[in-house]
Amino acid sequence: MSAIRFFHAADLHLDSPFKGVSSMPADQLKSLRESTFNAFQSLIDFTVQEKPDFLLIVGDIYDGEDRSLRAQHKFQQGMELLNKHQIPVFISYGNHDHLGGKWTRFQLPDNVHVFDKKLEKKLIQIRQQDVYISGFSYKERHVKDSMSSLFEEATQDEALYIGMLHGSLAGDTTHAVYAPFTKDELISKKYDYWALGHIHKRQVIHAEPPIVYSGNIQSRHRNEKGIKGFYDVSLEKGQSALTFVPTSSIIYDEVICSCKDIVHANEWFEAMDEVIDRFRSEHGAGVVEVLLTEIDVQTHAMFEATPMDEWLSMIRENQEFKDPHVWVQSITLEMPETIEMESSGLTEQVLSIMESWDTQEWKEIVSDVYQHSRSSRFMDKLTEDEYKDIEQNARAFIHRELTVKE
Amino acid sequence: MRIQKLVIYGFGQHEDIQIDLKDGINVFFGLNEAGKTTIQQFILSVLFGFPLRNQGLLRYEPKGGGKHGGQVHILHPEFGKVIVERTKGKSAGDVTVYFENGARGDEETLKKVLYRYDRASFESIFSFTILQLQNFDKMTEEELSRTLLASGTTGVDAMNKLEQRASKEMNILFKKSGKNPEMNIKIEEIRTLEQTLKESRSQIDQYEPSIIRISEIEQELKRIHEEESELKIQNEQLAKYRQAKPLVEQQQELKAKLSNISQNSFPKEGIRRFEGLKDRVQELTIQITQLEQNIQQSKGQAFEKDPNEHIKQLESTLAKESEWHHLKLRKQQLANERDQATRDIEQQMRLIGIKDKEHFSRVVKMDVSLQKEEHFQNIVNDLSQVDESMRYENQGLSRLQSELEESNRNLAELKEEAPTNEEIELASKKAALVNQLAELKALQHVSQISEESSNKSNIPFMVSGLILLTSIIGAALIGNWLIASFGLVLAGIILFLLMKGNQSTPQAKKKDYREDITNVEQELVKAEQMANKVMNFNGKQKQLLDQQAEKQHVRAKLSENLTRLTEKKREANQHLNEFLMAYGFDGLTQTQLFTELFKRIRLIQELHQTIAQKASEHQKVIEEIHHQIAMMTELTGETLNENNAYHRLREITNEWKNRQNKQVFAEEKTNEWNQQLSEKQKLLEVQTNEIDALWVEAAVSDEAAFYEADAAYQTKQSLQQELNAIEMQLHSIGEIVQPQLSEEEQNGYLENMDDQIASLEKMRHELLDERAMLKQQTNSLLSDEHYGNVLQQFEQKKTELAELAHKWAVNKAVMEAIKQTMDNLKEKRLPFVLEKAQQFFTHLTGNRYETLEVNEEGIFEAVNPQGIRFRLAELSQATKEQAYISLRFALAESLIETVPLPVIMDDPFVHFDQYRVNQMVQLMSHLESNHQFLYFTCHEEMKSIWPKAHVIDVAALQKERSVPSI
Repeated sequence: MSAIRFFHAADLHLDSPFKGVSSMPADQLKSLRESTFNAFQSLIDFTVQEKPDFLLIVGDIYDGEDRSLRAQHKFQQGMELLNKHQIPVFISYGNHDHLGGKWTRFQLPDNVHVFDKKLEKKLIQIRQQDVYISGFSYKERHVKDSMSSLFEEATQDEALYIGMLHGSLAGDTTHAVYAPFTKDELISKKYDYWALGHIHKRQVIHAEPPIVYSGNIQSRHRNEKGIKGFYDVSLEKGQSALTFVPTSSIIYDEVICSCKDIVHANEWFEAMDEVIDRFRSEHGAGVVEVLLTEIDVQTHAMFEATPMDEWLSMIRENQEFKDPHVWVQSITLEMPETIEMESSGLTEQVLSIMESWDTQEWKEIVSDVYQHSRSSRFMDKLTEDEYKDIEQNARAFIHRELTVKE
Repeated sequence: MRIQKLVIYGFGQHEDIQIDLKDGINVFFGLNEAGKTTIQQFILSVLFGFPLRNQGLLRYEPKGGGKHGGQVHILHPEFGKVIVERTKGKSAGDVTVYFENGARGDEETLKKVLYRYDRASFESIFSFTILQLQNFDKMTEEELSRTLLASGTTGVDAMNKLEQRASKEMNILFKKSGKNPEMNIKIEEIRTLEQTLKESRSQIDQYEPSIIRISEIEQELKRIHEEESELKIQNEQLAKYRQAKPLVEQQQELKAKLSNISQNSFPKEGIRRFEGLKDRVQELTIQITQLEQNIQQSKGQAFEKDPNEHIKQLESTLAKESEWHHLKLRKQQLANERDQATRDIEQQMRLIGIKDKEHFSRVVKMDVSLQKEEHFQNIVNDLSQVDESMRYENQGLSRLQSELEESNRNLAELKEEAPTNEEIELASKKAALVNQLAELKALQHVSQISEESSNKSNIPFMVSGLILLTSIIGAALIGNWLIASFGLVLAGIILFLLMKGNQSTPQAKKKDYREDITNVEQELVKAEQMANKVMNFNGKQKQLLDQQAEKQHVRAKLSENLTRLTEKKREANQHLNEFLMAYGFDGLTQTQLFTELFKRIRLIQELHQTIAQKASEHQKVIEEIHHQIAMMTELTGETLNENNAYHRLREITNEWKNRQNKQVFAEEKTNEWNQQLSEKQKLLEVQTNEIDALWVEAAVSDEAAFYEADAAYQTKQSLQQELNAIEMQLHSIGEIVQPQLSEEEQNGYLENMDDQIASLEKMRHELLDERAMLKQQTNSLLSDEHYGNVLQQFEQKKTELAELAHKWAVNKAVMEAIKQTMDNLKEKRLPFVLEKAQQFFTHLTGNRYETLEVNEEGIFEAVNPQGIRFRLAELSQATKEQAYISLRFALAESLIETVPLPVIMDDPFVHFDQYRVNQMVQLMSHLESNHQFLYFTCHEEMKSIWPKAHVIDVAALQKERSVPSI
């Protein structure tokens, strides 16, 4: 029995747009948009360079109806390259690229095995080591039923078993719930590795046997922060080693900029430069949300003197010609309680009324826009956090306005 | 909340004071300036902060310079015992909040303790002064209403403005059916992008049909290609057939012709070979005939006798040829020598002038011995000496003659230079002139001595002399003597005039000597020159004449010598001529030739003897020659002459030899011919046989038939060749399928096929174009970034929209919150407050007014029991104050659960009559259990108006200072 080595990637979402970025100049937007391709290219390049025994892609290669031909073409080219280097690829399609779609399908080369909508078990021999890879492709977008029960239990002691499953851990509602499974259920199958897809956040659900979400290879959303990539897995019976390989060409992350003892704008600019430069040297190109912490009254007064939009554009200007480019998406002030403004009884009443609103009330209040026949289509439903955000901003607004007036 | 104790560290006039307070009513009494207001401000300052410097309020910094600030001890319903300490620090002061449990807090904690009320809010509800009451009637109805409506809270204006702003902001961001608000624009942009996306998607949807269509096209193209090639094959077949058709016909024709010719074989190059053989046979026949004739001829030609003997004799004679030639040469030589001698004698005879034969014979006998010759030689020598002398004398004579002529010429020249008579005369005057000069000089000397001092004025002479000189020089320069003479005259005139002016000089005459001396001296010089010239001339003339005389003497002497010599010469000539005359010679002109004459004569005598000798020798040689010729004539039988005898003899000998040779040759030839003849005859036989063989091969029996056979065979050959060529062509065309169609049908078919091919071609082009277009489209779709870009833009716009919506939501929330607050005030608290206020008001006014209401316009009205309504402005000052106080108390009452703060009053009842004061006291006593009152007054009677009241004498505070105990 010898160890095998394979790569586990999922949720490529090729050519899908980057969400939650605004006001970005066109050239930077382009590199942002190319990021999924670049990340994919990194995956392919690394695979060609390292020549693992095979590559697993656990669903969501494209972004559903929004898939572009270019994305499919690029993917096909990548597969052709791997074919040239004799590296097998196993693909199970997920909810975003299910088999039911009416989109054009590109002919993939012979090294690629695409799992059928029915669960399939595929035997592959790696240096006399039998490896069974089981998986299925989504036959339609919505696979709400649990699929894990369909996986056959491991029977041969000598062989390695790998399961490919695109779905969510039961109870996790951060993503749409598809093909839910439980950890125990998977463990009970006695597989040697569970390659999971669908959840974009990288996580190891269980260490031995590994049950792993590799996460997506490139963040595409402000909610998908941090470094993205895939897992380089060495596997033998009862033993596994996982190495994370970063691929994301653009990192989306939050950085914290301490404003302790900052009184003047130039001090703050320096602090920002330092924070962003540190990010740049660590990650290269990226998009950051800056959280300003340790703000005291004086610093706050400084920020209050100029609208935050202007501060933001000044920071962007400072960063404009630095390479690799780091785009500052937003700047948020972490408001400590201590700086709450003096409030009159009336203000207090207004604020307390606002505080008392529950989600339903909030929903009604903003319904003019968020439920408007024309605009609602283009807006996501607001989350609790977002309502909190709005409340926070409204509170700040009232404070600012009323205190200045008094 | 109750204030239990005040600890003042330093505030205004107060320092180190501690005041204990009670629940219920606390009365602070003090006259003016006692520090009542200071205490009031102390409480507010400690709780809500020292007034900021820009707020225009007094900060009450301690006059004594002590520690600014102090403590307020509170009993809080939530936190229990709390001490708020504020001391000097940042502008609002440094706050520390001490809790029972030992915890400490800061400004923020204090806010919680104070229910987030700020000073303004506090003052507007819980604190009122006489000032506010007095101003009460100055408020407009609207202000009053609103103030009351707002439950006395401040910031309602700001709140209203904020609401308006938020609303405006919202309108800028979004309107339900607007176009220009930012979000509406954004939505429109997103819709447009969505449209673009849809279009892009529909383009992408075309990809698959395009790909399918491409593969269809490829199938179709393949089919067309097959069809085309099928057609092409058919076309080719037909074309081949049509091309081969005339050839096949020709082939058949040729085959028919060939079958007609029976001549199957013919010897190779038969004709040429036959003709060659035939030529040779003829040639051989002729040669044989010729040879036979030759042999016949040569037999008839042969010698009768042997010529060899005769040839030998001839050859021996020929051998003597050199001898013969020698004889002939000798004969000639002798004749020549004889003739030469004869010619020489004749020459000499002519030279020495022999006139005839007789003279010749005399000469032959002449004595020319050496003695004779010597004798005459002497005579000749003498003659030549005489001639030499004569020549010398003649030369001397002629030179002398020329010298004489020279001297005559010199003499004549000299005579031309001879001095004239005048000159001679002048020369002769010389002596006289010398004397005259001496005389004059003596005179001059005498006059000079006597006149020396008296005469100084010779200026006229100098002037006139000067003019004269000038005129002479001028004349000389210009060459005009007229000027000179004019100058002379002028000089004279001037001299004369000046002289006249100088009358005072009487000794003018004596002055003349000097001029005379000069003249005489000049004349003397001339005379001396002339004398020298004459003397010179005379000397030269004499010398020349002497020379002439001497030369004439020498000439005479020479003439004499010549005459003598001429005589001597004549004698010698005579002697010589006599001798010559004796032998018939006329005499010699030149004596030198005499020796020559002797020599010639001797030569003539010698020649004469030689001629006689040669003549006899010549005769002998002639005889020998004649003998020889006679011998040769006998031998040849021909008469030979001397000149060509041997030539002829040689010819005859050669002739004989030739004839002999020819005979030998003819014999050899005959033998050869015979041999040749037999060879030729054999050859002839062979050739004839060959001809026969040819004929046999050609299967003919005679020549004509042979030729015919050849022609036939030739034709056959060429036909066969043609046939071969055609067959080759047919082979190269390839296999031919005989079509089932007739000629016309074929033409029709061909045209049709062309059409078909053209249409297929066209179809193929169309398909190719379509395929190219589709490929281009699909390729561009594959590499199209547009869709992705639009998608990204779409997302970005969505994000931007979300951001705007967020902004909008914030504004909306603000607006909504304010609105709800106001509604809340209006709808919930207002009725409660109004009811309470109404109760208080009724109580305070002693039931004069029943209710206090807000009409539809939002204005307060008081209604009396009769139902009559009064606007507040219509009420008396005191009633207004009562209404205000009622409202305040009602507000405080309404907040008793949520904000139980103490009520601070600064002598508000000063305008009230006793009755009303009592009413007021009653009311407060009634409220005392729920509220803590801090009542500040300067009125003594107020100290005792509330029986339970805790009275603090402010003036006394200063005296009982105590140190704060914390």
